[in-house]
Amino acid sequence: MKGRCLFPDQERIDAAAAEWIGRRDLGLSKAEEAELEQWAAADTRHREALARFEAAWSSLGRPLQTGMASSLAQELSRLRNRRRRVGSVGAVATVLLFLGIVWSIQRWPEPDLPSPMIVLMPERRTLPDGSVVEFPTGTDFSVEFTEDVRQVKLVGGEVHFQVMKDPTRPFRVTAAGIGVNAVGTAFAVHLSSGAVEILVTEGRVAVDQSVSTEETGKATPKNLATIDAGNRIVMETPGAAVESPSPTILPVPAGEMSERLAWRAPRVEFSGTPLTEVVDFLNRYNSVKFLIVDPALGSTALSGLFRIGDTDAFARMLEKGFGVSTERRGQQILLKKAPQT
Amino acid sequence: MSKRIPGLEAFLRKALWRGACILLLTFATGGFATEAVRKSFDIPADAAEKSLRRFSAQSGVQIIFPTEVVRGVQTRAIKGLLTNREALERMISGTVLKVVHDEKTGALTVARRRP
Repeated sequence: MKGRCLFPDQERIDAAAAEWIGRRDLGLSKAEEAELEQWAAADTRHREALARFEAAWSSLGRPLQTGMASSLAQELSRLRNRRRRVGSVGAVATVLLFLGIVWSIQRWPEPDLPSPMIVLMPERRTLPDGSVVEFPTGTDFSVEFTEDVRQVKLVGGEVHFQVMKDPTRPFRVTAAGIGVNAVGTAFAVHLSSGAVEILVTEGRVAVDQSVSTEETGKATPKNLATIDAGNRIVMETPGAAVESPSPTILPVPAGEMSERLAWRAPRVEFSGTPLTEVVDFLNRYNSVKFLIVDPALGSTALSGLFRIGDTDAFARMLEKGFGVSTERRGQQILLKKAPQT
Repeated sequence: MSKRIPGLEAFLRKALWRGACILLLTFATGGFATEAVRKSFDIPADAAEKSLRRFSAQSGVQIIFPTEVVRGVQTRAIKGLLTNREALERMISGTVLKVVHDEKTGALTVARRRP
């Protein structure tokens, strides 16, 4: 993962440790082993990070593509270390007050996987004010906090914001001339090549558009709409000089909301993976466990993309598409071959 | 001894608590819902095994199918503002595949049409 980090030291160490664990699994030459030993010995934090990722890696139990494993391991360590990191926010915040920082995350390659599974999780960062941003890999945005305003500029892709309340400093997201203003709320902004879409998940936001006036040629924000939770608007992005008509506010029912923000849920993607492997994987993360009763089922190859936590849907789809009959027994779901009709 | 990844479980729990109700909505119906909701799709023509996974990634709809069922099937390219149903039907039109939709969970699978 390329890109400058908000909290350089620990994140740099974590990234390196995760890479090393991933590479070691693929096999290291003598020279690389020596390099790893040197890196580990250079700093106690290096050894500590290696130990942490070793634990995460072995509990994953199977090799993943190196790039994914690094990002995944990074994300998991970030979640664990979140509390530790808040302490260092103060120092970093001072530096960030007068800096713009660009996040530029490399796109993951399209998976072409023979057997291994890939866990898809969003990237997540905590901003200096404690606000949390989540985004699919490939999103590009910059963070520009000043004394007067907490500003994020979205260059491309999609971000979900969970904004910390701070009435003294408005939180503002801009994307292609559209501005989204929030005090303390949660919403997603998606900037694609033709449109800006804003979806509010909590609270309320005020949306404006910067329109250049003919006299001054200067762009001033013009209020467009106020959007409450459970609603969204889509605005096509012409040039800044052309005004959009008042956008329609569209309600977003629950099912649609979970589809539109599906990237936020941890999912697993598999391609030709035997059922036994998929079941083993899901059972690690769910309290409801699958049990394959008919051994013949175990070798069935599965392809798809699924939410890791959605055992109910998984069971139902096995029934609908795989000739499996399922039986719920307490915290277990038994999987049997359905009788041929 | 297989250890769970604490981070992932904590993530799932935290996401539930986030109050944005995102994961609670995971189990709500979706997929080929009643309203005609349009999203932006862009999937090139490809082997169905791969393009169906791309469809899931872009639509947010869960899909799972036996790898064997789609062997040798190529799907059509789709691009533009489409509903989930439009997108998927356009992809598999002219192929031996048909879509099976679960009303309750909104998830999808595919099957081969009987000749």
